[in-house]
Amino acid sequence: MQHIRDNEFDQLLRDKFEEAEVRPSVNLWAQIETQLAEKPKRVFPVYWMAAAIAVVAISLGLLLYPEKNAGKRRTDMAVVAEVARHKAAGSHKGAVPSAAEQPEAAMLKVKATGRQAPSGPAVSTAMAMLPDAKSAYAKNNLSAVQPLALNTHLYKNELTVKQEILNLPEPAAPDKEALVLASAAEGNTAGDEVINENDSKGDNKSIRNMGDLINYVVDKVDKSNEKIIQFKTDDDNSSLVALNIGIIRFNTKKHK
Amino acid sequence: MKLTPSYTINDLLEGCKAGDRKMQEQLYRQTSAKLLAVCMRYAPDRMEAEDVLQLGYIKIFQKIREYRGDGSFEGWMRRVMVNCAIESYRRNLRTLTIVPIEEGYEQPSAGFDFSRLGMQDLLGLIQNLADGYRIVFNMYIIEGYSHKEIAVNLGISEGASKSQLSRARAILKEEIIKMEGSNYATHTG
Repeated sequence: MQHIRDNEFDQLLRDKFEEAEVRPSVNLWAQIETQLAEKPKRVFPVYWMAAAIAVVAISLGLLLYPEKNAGKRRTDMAVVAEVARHKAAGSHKGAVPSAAEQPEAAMLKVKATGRQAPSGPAVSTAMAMLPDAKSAYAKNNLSAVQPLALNTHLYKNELTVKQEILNLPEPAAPDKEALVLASAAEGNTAGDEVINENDSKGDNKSIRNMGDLINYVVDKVDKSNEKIIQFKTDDDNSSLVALNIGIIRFNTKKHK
Repeated sequence: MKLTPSYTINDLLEGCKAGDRKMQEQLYRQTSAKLLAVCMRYAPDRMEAEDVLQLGYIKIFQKIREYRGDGSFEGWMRRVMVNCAIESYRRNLRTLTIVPIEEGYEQPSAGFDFSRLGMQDLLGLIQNLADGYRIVFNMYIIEGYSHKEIAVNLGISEGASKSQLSRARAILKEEIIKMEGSNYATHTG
């Protein structure tokens, strides 16, 4: 018996396995087939999602960008915004937005008591001091669709009146005007963007056009620095300046 | 590779590239036994070998468009399968028991009569090797990787690859002699 060298040994093993065959279990192909069929299902939703996002982005752009054409296809929202713009330009430049600037508030006022309603953030602080605020809130038939802050406009009390006098150099808009506004806004009493729109959080920007409106709503919803969508409204043309929808992202401000 | 008369390897290749399920099945039917034999050498048992085979075929069908015809198709499929087996081994590395290398292992000296040794027996011996030995043995002796490639692939040193190989070889020789000895006791010595 002679020694076998390593490379001979290796070669013998290689030869042994060269044509080796082992039959797999019968059901193995069925398992592979199932797995092959699963793959596309896992891959597709990603593409569909991307496609859906793109479609949403494009339709948003088409719908919101051409503010100049607002006159051609006026929506209820546009009407409200328009009225608000006229009001803002015409009468008021005060620190607190007046009732005229807030058609919704005016409408609520008419619906509730017809009394003059205070407005602005001052009311919110006053509201906190009111013990019966909650019950009054519950009685309000609009409560279901209104944020709490809005309803504070409805409560009349000495404190708020005083505060209003302090903060508001000009008298609030006459009731007649408010009524006109109310009728203009009648269509959007519930769940509309306009309602959120007027929920002023203390900034003095008035809503003059569709771009303002969208900026305002986005600002409410999207608290991050890079908003999902942003318009430049100074030029009254409401040009799109920033967009941040996942992969689609640009910001003209940064380039300036 | 045996082919049924109705399909040439080119038919199967084109069909699989187009994602034709029937062609994929044909390819599997004609090549799986050979590729399972490859997997069996790397895996500790049949169950794991079939898991690797399944993963390997999924990969083959996914990557088949990347096969450009350089080298034999069978060789390409084998490589995909071997890579799958190595990958699976690496995934299981954490659960492996490390077998210490014994010093002064006695090298058996004997002749081999491979013709009398069945492939199944040999496969059994290989599967009984510790995982690290088995992988290095397969990669170096059967597939022809260099120690450097093995070291990179398995994340070990070249020295470790060499010592694991010689240990694996020694164990196999010993086991083969034992097996032959039990059959041909009069011939050993």
